[in-house]
Amino acid sequence: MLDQTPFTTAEPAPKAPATPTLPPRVWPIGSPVGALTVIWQRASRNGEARFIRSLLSVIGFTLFWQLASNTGVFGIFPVDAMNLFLPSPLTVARTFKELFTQSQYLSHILTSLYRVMFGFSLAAVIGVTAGVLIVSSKVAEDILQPFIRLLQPIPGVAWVPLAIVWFGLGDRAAIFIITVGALWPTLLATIQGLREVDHNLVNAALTLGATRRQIFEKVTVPSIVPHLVTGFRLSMGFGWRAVLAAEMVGVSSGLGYMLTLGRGVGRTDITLATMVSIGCIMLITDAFIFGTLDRKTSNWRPKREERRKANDEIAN
Amino acid sequence: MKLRISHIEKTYSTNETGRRLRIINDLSLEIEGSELVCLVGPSGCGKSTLLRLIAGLEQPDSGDIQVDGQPIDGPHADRGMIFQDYALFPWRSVQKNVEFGLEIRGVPARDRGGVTAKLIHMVGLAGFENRFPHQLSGGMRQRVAIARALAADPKVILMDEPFASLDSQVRKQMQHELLRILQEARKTIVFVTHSVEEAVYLGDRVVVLTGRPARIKADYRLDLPRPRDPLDERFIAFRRLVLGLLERPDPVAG
Repeated sequence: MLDQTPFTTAEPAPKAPATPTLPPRVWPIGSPVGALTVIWQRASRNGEARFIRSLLSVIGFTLFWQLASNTGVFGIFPVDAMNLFLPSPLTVARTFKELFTQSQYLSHILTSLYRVMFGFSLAAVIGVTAGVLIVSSKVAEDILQPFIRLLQPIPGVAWVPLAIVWFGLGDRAAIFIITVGALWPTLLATIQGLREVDHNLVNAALTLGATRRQIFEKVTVPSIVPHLVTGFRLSMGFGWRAVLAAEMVGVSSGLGYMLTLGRGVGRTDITLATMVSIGCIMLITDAFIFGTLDRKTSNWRPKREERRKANDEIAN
Repeated sequence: MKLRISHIEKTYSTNETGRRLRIINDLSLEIEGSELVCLVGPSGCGKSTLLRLIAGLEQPDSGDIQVDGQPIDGPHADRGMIFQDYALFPWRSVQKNVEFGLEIRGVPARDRGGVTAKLIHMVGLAGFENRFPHQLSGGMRQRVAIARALAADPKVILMDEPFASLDSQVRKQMQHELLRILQEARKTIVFVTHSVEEAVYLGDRVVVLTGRPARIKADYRLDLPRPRDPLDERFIAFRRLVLGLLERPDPVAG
């Protein structure tokens, strides 16, 4: 109805006291198990327990792998064949040491990195430009939409044969494949970001005297940044997948090439070491660069529940 | 400051049938000097639309709106607006939000601090300059929005149910604060609310609108002393009068 009178202004209900939710102690504190339980509970409260759990899991897995490799997967396969089928973690570690002393390993890494960065940058520029075009012009949208619909489901790998025919076995083919593979997430994120710009913020800027250009710079651009972070993040992942495929199939350099090289000369340890390298590189770019950017900009998005709440109240 | 709304009409086309829905019908209103004018009306009567028309965010189909004799065309910094959902820029700190209007006008960064510091202090947020909107409560966010609107130094501030999403206690406090702020910064305020009590508590003038399409049903000047006591006889009598107007069915609009 209309409004509360002063009489109905209710006191907020007193908050229930927070109850500590510790698991019940089963073991007496004096015993070693009891002591460990207490330590574990403290760690749980500090959030360290989860880290310790993950660490133990990785250590356990590595030990299991070592054991499986040393025993021929517990006697199923001959132990001699294990260097080919499943080199042990120790062997892989030794291979890493060996690789690091060779300039070739580093140059393969740099080659792949260069290609990914080049292709990703192209994809970012093309994706953002096309996204802006599509959102700002119905004509552009109608012209580009069918190609996006058709090409977007094709994975980057599927472009490899064509790229090799067009560009030969080299950087240019790899970069082309990465660009095509990495384009879509950025493009779609740009479109979505631009369509989700909060109209209220635009109106607020307008009533504060902003021109169209100022609104683009000071409202639209910051509004789409969180979307772009997500888009770039996915694009980077797509780019890595594409480059590895290209290098495995034909382009004879880079980390993908090292994967097949290891298999070709019977050095499975090189393949495994390369896989670990790829995992580490992708983890670093994803978690450290994009993860940080994502956390920094996550509050820039309008809160969905808040907007819904506001809309509900307008409707009432 | 003189705001003159003459004979405006506004219709929207509904999507499905293409029928025109008349929101505002031949509405005229004059607002002069630094007064707080409250617009009340039934839900969905078009009072927010009227505010958006004054802001220039929408254009009337006919009639015109003038500020100091100048017909308005589109939004301008001389008509600030405060929204129900605050509409703060989430990527800007309190300080940067309040500075926005000055930044837009090209005031150099070193000259903005004085104005904003004074306003942030005035709305009671000194010490929160470097916080971001998501770190503030609803009431605090609306204070930032008020400071931001004042910083652009508008001739009139349009407030669209600014306290509607706050809980009743914070809401009371904000009404009180708004009056205190206005004593310092003399401004013309057009305040849309669906709460009769809020209108009677705040308004120098209370304008009652009819149901859709909106026209003016009554226009009262309130000379109740401030601070107003919601239990005062005259306060209650006036509330009853306005409530009665809102509940009475409107004469059929032509």
